[in-house]
Amino acid sequence: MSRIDPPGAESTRGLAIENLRVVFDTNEGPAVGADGVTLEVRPGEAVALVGESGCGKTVTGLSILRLLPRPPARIEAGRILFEGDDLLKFSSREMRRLRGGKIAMIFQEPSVSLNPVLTIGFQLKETLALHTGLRGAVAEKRAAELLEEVRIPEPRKRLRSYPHELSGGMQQRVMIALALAGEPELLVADEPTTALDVTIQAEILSLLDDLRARRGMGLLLITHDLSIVARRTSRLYVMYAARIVESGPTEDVLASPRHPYTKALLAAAPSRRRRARGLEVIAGTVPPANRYPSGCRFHPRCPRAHERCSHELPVWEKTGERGTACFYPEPLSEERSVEE
Amino acid sequence: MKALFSNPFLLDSVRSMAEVAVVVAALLFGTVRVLRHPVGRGRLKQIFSSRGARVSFGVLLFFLLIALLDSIRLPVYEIRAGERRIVKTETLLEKLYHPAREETLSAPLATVTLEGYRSRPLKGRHILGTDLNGNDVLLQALKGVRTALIIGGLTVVIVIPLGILFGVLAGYFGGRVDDLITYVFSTIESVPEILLLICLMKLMGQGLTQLCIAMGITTWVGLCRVVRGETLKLRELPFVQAARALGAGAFSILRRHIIPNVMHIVLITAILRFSGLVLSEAILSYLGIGVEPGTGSWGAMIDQARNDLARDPVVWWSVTAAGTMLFILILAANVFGDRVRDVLDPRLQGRRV
Ligand SMILES: Nc1ncnc2c1ncn2[C@@H]1O[C@H](COP(=O)(O)OP(=O)(O)OP(=O)(O)O)[C@@H](O)[C@H]1O
Ligand SMILES: [Mg+2]
Repeated sequence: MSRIDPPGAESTRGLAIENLRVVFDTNEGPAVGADGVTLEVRPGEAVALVGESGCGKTVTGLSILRLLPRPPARIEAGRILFEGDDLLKFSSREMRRLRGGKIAMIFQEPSVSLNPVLTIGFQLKETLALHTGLRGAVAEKRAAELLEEVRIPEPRKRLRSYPHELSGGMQQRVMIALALAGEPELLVADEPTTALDVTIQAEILSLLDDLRARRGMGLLLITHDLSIVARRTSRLYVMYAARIVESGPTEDVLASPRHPYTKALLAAAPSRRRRARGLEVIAGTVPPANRYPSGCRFHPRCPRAHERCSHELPVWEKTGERGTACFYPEPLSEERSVEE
Repeated sequence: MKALFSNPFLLDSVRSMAEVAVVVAALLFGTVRVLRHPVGRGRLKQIFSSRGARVSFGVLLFFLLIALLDSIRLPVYEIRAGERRIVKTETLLEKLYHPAREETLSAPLATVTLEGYRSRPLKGRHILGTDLNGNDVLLQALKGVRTALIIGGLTVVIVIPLGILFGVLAGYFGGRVDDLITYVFSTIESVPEILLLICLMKLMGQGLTQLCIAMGITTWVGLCRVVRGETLKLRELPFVQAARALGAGAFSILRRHIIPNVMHIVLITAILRFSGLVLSEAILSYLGIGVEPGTGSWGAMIDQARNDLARDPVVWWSVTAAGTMLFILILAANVFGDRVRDVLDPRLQGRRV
């Protein structure tokens, strides 16, 4: 690579999405899937993208790999920088090499994410051949190693299994092994545990965490469940109605959310502490993507909405590591303790 | 040597072998593919767990055996002026069952020709009688088996690759490709099938292979439509999405992920189509644009019935024999096809008891 990194530019490494806007041309008019989304995943870092169903998490994840169906999807604006290159400018051949190579993605439903008519071994070897050129006995050996790495017992035997012969948790492990075949530097995991039992959920998440740490791989963990991101991710982005509304170090955001939406989401999340009190549900419903309200999109459901919120879009305000898009954010905990 | 290759009889035998060889090769290929796949093996076991399927499959196998016997042609020599020459070819079936040729019509098991035809003694007994030309009806009915199986089999062999290829391309790529393919098959579909068949047969000339090609052209559109629909559904499925996310290109997605997953639909459609094709042949022969005269087909026998049924006394045996054979073959094919569909069609899963 002959490219010279600009001095001190951390952002040329890892992934940086800037101002991404995705629109779907539907029969009911244009639907906004992502709007001004800006997020960053540094090498080796685990980052969470959290939000309610339909807020645009999957759209964001899929646009990284340019996997959105076109039509109806259209990337209207923004840049997706990976190691300094804008992926939106890549040719389709370059993109294909990148997918499953430097960037891999796994999905929500492991039971339907594997081809039902091919063996696990066949699917692994096919992916290995594609990205590493390994074939034959060497590929077979590597495939077994990958299964071992994702902690599947008796890997040699499992290579000959068909997807339906495995449990959901095992299937998701196979998906992860497939994703690892191309030695990715970034793994996008779109709700990897939503379809699984709680105990298996924890195992898969700690597996992902171990793999990330061991391989120095970036991880973008997409989820609607705030309770699973603590301790497993270092930074957190909260998304609402196609926009990022808050970001910051996970611990800090969870301890003192600034955006009213994050606060509401946190109150609705089942955590050990809150379970006793019962869950609070956020009042109102998520607006459909083709009819987002003007101003702050959360204002119809916001307990603290002022007149201004209904017609003016709040700008992104950055305070150190943290940022939020709200006119009347909850003060930062330090400020609050000073006030009190 | 040169004489051997310019020998019309040899050409005849090669063609008759080739037609059946294509069908048998396709059958074997399909069976091996199914058997090599554990899921396929399981499904096969499931299909044969029903008695109806076993019986109907047995009938189909028996028919196939007759067709094979009728495909192997051997030369018949005659010594004329001290020279051994090939005068005609005979199939193995004709060698095994060799009824005498009579002069004209005779009723089943009769000893003399039909009354009104100058009662002449017959040279032999004919279980199903003879037709106007004195041919044994049973032999003709048996010879019709080969024609029917080739009509159904060879046409299906032509239809499957066409239907899969264009259906998958249209469904997967969508856009222009889809528009073009949909345009082509909508056009073909908009022409009445029988008219199109007549045109094609006039273009290519009569013959069994030609008929299969013509029917292939009119029937691939049905399969193409089904495959296209299934592909549209499949390409949105997570595992295709996941394969794309792992860097698989369009070609390998089609080969590994789409085609294997439409095969069950292709099989169901092909088997259920088979009987329709056999029936079409009967209709086309009735219209006089089917196989060449003398090939021996049930359609031709039924065609003959137009005159036979008007005779006095009514000559019913020819049409009955052809009709019965047609009925048995189509019943067997449909019973087997239904069973295959019951097992393979996911939409019927769970509805079965
Ligand atoms: N193929 C599509 N056609 C039209 N609109 C779409 C399409 N895919 C997504 N959208 C729109 O984009 C919005 C965001 O969808 P997305 O799938 O990203 O949500 P999500 O946050 O991943 O939700 P979930 O938790 O349910 O997975 C949806 O509200 C939807 O209206
Ligand atoms: Mg999603």
